[in-house]
Amino acid sequence: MKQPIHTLLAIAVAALAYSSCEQVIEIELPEHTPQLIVNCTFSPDSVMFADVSISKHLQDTANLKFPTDATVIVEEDGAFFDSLKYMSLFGQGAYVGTRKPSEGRSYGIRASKSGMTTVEGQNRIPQSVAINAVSYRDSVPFGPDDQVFDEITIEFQDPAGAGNFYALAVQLRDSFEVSPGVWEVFAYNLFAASDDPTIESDFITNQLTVSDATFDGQLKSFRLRLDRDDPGFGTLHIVLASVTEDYFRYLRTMSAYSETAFNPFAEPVIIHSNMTPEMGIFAGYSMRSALVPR
Amino acid sequence: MKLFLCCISILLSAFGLMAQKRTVSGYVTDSETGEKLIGARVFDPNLKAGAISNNYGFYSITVDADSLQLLCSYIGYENLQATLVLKADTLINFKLMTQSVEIGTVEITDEVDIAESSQMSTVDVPIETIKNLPALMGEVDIIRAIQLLPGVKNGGEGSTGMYVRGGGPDQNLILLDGVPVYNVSHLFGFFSVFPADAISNVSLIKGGFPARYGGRLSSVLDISLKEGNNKEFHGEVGIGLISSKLTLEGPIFKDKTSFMVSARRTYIDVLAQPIIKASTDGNTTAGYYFYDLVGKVNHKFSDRDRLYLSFYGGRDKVYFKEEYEETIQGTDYASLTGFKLGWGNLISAARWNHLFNPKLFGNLTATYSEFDFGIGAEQEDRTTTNGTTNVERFALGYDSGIRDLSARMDFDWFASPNHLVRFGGYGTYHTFTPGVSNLEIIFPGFEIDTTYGAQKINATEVGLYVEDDFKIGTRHRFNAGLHGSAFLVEGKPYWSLQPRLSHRTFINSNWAIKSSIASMAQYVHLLTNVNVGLPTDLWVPATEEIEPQRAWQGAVGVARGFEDLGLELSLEGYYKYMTGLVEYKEGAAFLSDNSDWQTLVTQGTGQAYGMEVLLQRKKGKTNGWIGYTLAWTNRKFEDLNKGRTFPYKYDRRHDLSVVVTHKFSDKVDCGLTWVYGTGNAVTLPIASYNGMSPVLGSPIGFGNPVNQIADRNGFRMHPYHRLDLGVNLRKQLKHFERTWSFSVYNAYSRRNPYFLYWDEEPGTGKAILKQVSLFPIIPSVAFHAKF
Repeated sequence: MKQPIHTLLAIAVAALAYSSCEQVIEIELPEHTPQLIVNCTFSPDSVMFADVSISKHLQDTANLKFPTDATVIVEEDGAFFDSLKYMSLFGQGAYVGTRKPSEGRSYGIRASKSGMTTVEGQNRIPQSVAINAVSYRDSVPFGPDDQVFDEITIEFQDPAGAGNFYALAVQLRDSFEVSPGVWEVFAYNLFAASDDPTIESDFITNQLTVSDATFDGQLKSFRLRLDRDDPGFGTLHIVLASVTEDYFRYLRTMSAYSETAFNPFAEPVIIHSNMTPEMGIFAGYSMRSALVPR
Repeated sequence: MKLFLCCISILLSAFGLMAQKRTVSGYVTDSETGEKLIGARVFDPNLKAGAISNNYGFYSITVDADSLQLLCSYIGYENLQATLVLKADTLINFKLMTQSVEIGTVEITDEVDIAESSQMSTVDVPIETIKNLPALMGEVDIIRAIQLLPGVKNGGEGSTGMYVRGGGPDQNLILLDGVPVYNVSHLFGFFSVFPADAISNVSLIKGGFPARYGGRLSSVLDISLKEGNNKEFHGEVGIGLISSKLTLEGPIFKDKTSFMVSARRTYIDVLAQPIIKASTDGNTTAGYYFYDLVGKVNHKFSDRDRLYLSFYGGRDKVYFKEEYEETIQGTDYASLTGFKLGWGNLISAARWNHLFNPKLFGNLTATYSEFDFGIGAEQEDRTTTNGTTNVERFALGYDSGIRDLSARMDFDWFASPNHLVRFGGYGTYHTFTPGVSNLEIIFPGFEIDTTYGAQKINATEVGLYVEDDFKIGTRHRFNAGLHGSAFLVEGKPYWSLQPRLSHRTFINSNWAIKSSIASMAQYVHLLTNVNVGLPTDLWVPATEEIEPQRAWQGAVGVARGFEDLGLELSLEGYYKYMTGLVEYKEGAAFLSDNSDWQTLVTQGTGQAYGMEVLLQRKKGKTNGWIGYTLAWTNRKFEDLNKGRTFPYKYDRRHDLSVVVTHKFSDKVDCGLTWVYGTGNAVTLPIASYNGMSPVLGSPIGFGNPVNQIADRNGFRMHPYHRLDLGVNLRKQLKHFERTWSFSVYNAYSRRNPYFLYWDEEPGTGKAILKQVSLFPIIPSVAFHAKF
């Protein structure tokens, strides 16, 4: 029996050494025809602003292109509303309108460029929802280690009926004198989180998103946790935006994509789009804000 | 429940009218080993009355006649005939002799024609055929053989995952001696946990499920362990490239009590350990191994009572440990780095067979099944100066698992030659541990030792069933039944009534048409991360938020036996619709999110349809099969792929298997398998564009280049095909029979896709998609001794 075992071991080592070399070959990808991309979120607080670019094949090493000669038309309830004009903004394809859209109205956008397929999308601005109450608590312990946070509670009445979607943000607003007599106001979102499993936080824009699937038509309150390291100057405001489902899905998928793009263990994310052909976003929202009493 | 009880009452009262008939019953066993023979046919050709032996080798025939001419037959055994004059109910045990195999004679017969059974979508694979197939690295593998059948797909290169008719790997009820096995993989899926030397019977049901089976949607793989030779002591030794195995069996008390024990262990770690130690100055230990230990004891109290005790334990373990110690300027430094990964099954069963009367066979079973998975890493640094020790430590562990305690009672009531009624019930107490993480951090002035993640969830599952396998005239045969089950988890009840019906009608003496429809329910889910091929998948229960899986499947087909050629042909078409399927949400990641698993998953539906052809030969020197499947498998989840239907990862349009074994003589036999399958579906981005994260109150958002995925699983890997060859050289020596098995896996060294990954072209930065192929041609040899 001794000899067969030696023979076996020799063959085993040889076979395993042979089999252990993984082989790598290159795979060809399908073609992709470059396409106009429009990203535009709009609200009654601002004129229409569209980010227009051109997609490229994944293996194209050139930089993304931002066309300056695209035609971008916006319609309101099916009638012409505005024509967005190109303006240079950080070298990107910014197209800006002259009119502010209105709550409760529907809009369509159509972008075209010579030699490329026209892209279009439709959306609306939902009715804003009033903030009923806001309260603030300092130094609230949370979690198994009793880490301390500041807590903001917001309460609002969700309209009954059709599905409503919300984006929330805690804004720090302040102003400073850039030159004698000239003041500039700035605002930025602070990172906030919630225990509510239906709320998701976006780490890039510091927005929180939630749908009313579990509280349709109810008086709803959310408790949001703020990191105590945030600066104490300025005023805190809470923003409650009524967003369309397309806005909600786009922000959630963009958020998931950004968080997991380099994680090999993560499920792939398909970024939402309501444009035709797909890629890009056209989504409306309306918002209310309230001062957070501190 | 009323409907269920009503069915039982009607059946019982109907059969009560059939009194004053005589019953012949008994067991069919192997004459040399005493091993039960499952599926043997006991038949009177004149009366055209007969029965098939059940999972314990028991049969029963009730006839309205004074005499019987019984013919007992079983594949690979000599037929045995008995002429009886019946004056009362009679017990006849058939002890069949194995056929001697010589060139020029008819070697194997199988009297149970594929066309005859009412059961469709069922394949029995003789264990000897499985053993004769070419094996990867010399390891005979039951699951790998099952994957060669039409309607069954593997998960890719080297995978022992089973995907039956569009179902997931969790939807297979894999029974080892009647006990569910939750994880069937060793070595990251390259080998299954079932040692072939310890197995006596393998049966796969893909549709038309009899009512006695429940709890899974897509298949039943029923594997029976050998009982052990109750006449003589025997054993088998196997030495392969990666593992060795030993199987022993024999009588404890002759003809009364027998045992079988089988063990297998890999030895890569043992071989590699000296090399690793030598190259690291003895500071490092690392390795991988798996083992299996299977045992069974059975005791025959009488012809009426028999007790079985069976056990399986198996485990995989990967480990790495590195330790350093040194002293610099009076300070002692010590560091420890460790990593371990392990998973395993532990299964046991106690079973009592009792023959209440010649027509009623009962089986009481108590089982325990456990699967656990754990991964852990640690880093510790100790510094000792002047007697003062400073410790810095980081340790992370992750555990998941499932544990079942079950009891079930089954009855086979051979009510008449035309009716075999099965009924029974079961209860299972599940304990799920769906992912618990332990974190330990020690730094000077700072310590954390915490556990987070989902805690244990307990659930109770109960069920009742009744089925009747009955004939109407000589042409029609039906199996009708009802399976009712209920599941209680965290106060939330679920229940399900699952009607089952299958039928066969002879068109003529050769051709039969078959059909079936079955409803199934499943209260457990397996969360599978599509990008990971480790046993990191989590078993979780249906909960208040997560619905059970449900399915119904319809199938129609034709079957024909070609007696002269020894061929059997079956052609089946099927449609399956599934609800309550679970997938991780887009962006969810294993091991990187502390969230409750329920918030990471989403539920949807699936459908699968297709056609399967199986041409099988069980007779003669050359046997095997050709199987072809044409299939479509889709999923639809509101939260995935923008709510649009997408192909399942294992949607495989064409799947072809050719399996041939040929016996040249008692000394030489060979095997060949060739498989072809459409490439697996994968999700890949094709384009990139400028995305924008919108900011409330500002028309300008954060621009960010993103990759566009048009559709989930919208891209296909290259097709998979592979040829394996093998030859077995046997010789009877003085004390044992030895077999040298030579195999070549992937004989023409096809570069089959294992996984795809993105790389960057040096210099240009261009993204390149690359395919990794794992196994080129792999020759192997194994030695087997049987005594």
